[in-house]
Amino acid sequence: MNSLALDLHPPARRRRTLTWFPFAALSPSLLVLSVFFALPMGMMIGMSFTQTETFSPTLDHYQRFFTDGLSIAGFCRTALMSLLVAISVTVLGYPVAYFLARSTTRWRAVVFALALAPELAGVVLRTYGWLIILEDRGFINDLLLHLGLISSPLPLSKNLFAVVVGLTHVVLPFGILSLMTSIQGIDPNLERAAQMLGASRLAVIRTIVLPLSVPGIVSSMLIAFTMAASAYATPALLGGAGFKVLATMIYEQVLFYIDWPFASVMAMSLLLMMLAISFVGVRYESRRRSRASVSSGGER
Amino acid sequence: MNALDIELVSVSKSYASMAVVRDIDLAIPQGEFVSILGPSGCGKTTTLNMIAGFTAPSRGDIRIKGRSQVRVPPERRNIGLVFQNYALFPHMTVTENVAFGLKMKGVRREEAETTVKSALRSVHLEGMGKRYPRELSGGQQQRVALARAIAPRPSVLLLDEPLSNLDLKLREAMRIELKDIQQQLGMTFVYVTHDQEEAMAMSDRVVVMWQGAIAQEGQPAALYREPNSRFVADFIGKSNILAVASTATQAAHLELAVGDGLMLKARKTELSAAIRYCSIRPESIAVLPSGVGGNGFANLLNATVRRVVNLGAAFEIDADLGSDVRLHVLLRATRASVPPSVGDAIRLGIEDADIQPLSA
Ligand SMILES: Nc1ncnc2c1ncn2[C@@H]1O[C@H](COP(=O)(O)OP(=O)(O)OP(=O)(O)O)[C@@H](O)[C@H]1O
Ligand SMILES: [Mg+2]
Repeated sequence: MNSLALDLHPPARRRRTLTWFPFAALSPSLLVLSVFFALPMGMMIGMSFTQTETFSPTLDHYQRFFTDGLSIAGFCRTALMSLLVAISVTVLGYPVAYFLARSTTRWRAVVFALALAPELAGVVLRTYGWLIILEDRGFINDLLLHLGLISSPLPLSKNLFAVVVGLTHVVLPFGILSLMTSIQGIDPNLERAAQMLGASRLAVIRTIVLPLSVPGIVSSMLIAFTMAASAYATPALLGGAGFKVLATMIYEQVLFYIDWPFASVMAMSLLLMMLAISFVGVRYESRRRSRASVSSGGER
Repeated sequence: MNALDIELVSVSKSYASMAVVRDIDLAIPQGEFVSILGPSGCGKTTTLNMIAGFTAPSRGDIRIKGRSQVRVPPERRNIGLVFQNYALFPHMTVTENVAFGLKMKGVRREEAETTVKSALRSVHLEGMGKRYPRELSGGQQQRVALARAIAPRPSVLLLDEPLSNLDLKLREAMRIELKDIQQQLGMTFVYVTHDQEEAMAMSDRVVVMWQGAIAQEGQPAALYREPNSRFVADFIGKSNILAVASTATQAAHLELAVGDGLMLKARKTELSAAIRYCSIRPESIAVLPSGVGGNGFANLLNATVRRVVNLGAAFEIDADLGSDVRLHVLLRATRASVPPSVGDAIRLGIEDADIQPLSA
């Protein structure tokens, strides 16, 4: 008994010092966050539970959110839009990220610049660019009409499709960067080893690169989802008046209806959506990781 | 003579006009254990990568079983490769790692299972199949890498310094195992290393590379006995290299003038170029007490002991012959032998055959 107690002591102490330090590293950012983030956030939460005239606590705003139909529809539309953007960013960004992570030719610099160039133009500029391309009288429809392939314009703008295209463009560089970092972390010798064992280039990607870059895929999807869910300009401009997502609805509530409490409820729902998605993503990752290390117990 | 497995025909590789591999000719018969030995940066990995197919030669041809491979991608060359850092797939278990090549070849599952089992058995890792690479020690990972490479039965196995990340004891044990496995499988091994002991211990043939070219190739013993250059003499084992000022052919011997007027008698040889150096292995020099015996030696030299280092199994003696010549002598430590002390006058006996004339 005695020796057991002695044995257990040192590791326990070591663990304590190890957990303490990373939190200390957080403190500067915690300070900034608490002033510029926690404070307004607290006010927002407070407002969402407050009666407008009497300032007494109430759940009325939440009840309205769940029952008026429009709000829930906006919530679901936001989730769907963000999910589509997350998928398209990750799928489109992956090959580019792979190229950037592995290429050693001078083309790498060119592609890198091209991949990040969209960030240099502002969101509004890029969005108008897409409008010119996707409109009923825009470039694509004009071309197709001219060629006689269609007789009336395709519905390419003022809808979910246009918004997803525009947001994908905005978010893509972030997705590419997070995927690239993850792929760069994979030892290129693993790919060579797989090749030597008879794997074609495609098989190497499927069996080695993809599974090992899951953390990058998860973070790319998370980044894309949260950026899309909180985007305002692109859905507002490319979606048209009828396309309502939480961000545009919140804007409307604040600016036109001057209904701060209800806007706060919507903002809360947006926040919770993003928190939930992040939680799922992080959980998936840590579960995957611990599954791999649980079997490190040796016997299983 | 067996059929040739790999042929390199005047293979060269340059990067931006810098020659990294120059004009290498090499023919490796089926089933041979060949080591490519050379100092860091001499082009060993580049040569291996060209055989594997990751690097295209700038000039020359690479043939495997008589067929040119220059346009064949790595995955279709049927060659195995063991990496210095093992490159095990971290997301797969040991079994999955070893089965990977078989899966890619479309081997049926039951057959693959048997093959994986026997591959793991041959590297003594039975029962480790369910572990992940990070749960293994360096030596075990190294064995998994070997099992993974041999499981699909490639015709040739390339190994790039596979033991360099292991500690000395394990490295020595693995040398023997590698050699055993190679002989059991009858597979051609091309083994890259900068460790001459490793190359000597395992190989049927050693190819010494220097500055991108082959300096000398041959059986380990022959290379050790008859190096053809200062570089090889010094790189393989330890050697006393003396500059030769002039040579004279006598009836029975070749006389080499070294240092400040000292004459050494070497055996007569046919050398095309002028002799500029000679090499004497430290362990081939006999230490005789002053005054008596030693009539059997072609060279009997008086010397003074300058330094004695106890190496355990032997004593390393730094002997001053005067005339600006110093020799390192290795004296085997036996129960009977008493090493000389610093300042002692001794005599050194060297056979004529133990003095190897060098032209470069
Ligand atoms: N891609 C490359 N571009 C330019 N030079 C290269 C390239 N690859 C290798 N070299 C050069 O070629 C030479 C030989 O390299 P190589 O990797 O073949 O050496 P090595 O014999 O394997 O050495 P080591 O024992 O250190 O592994 C080195 O001088 C290296 O700098
Ligand atoms: Mg190397």
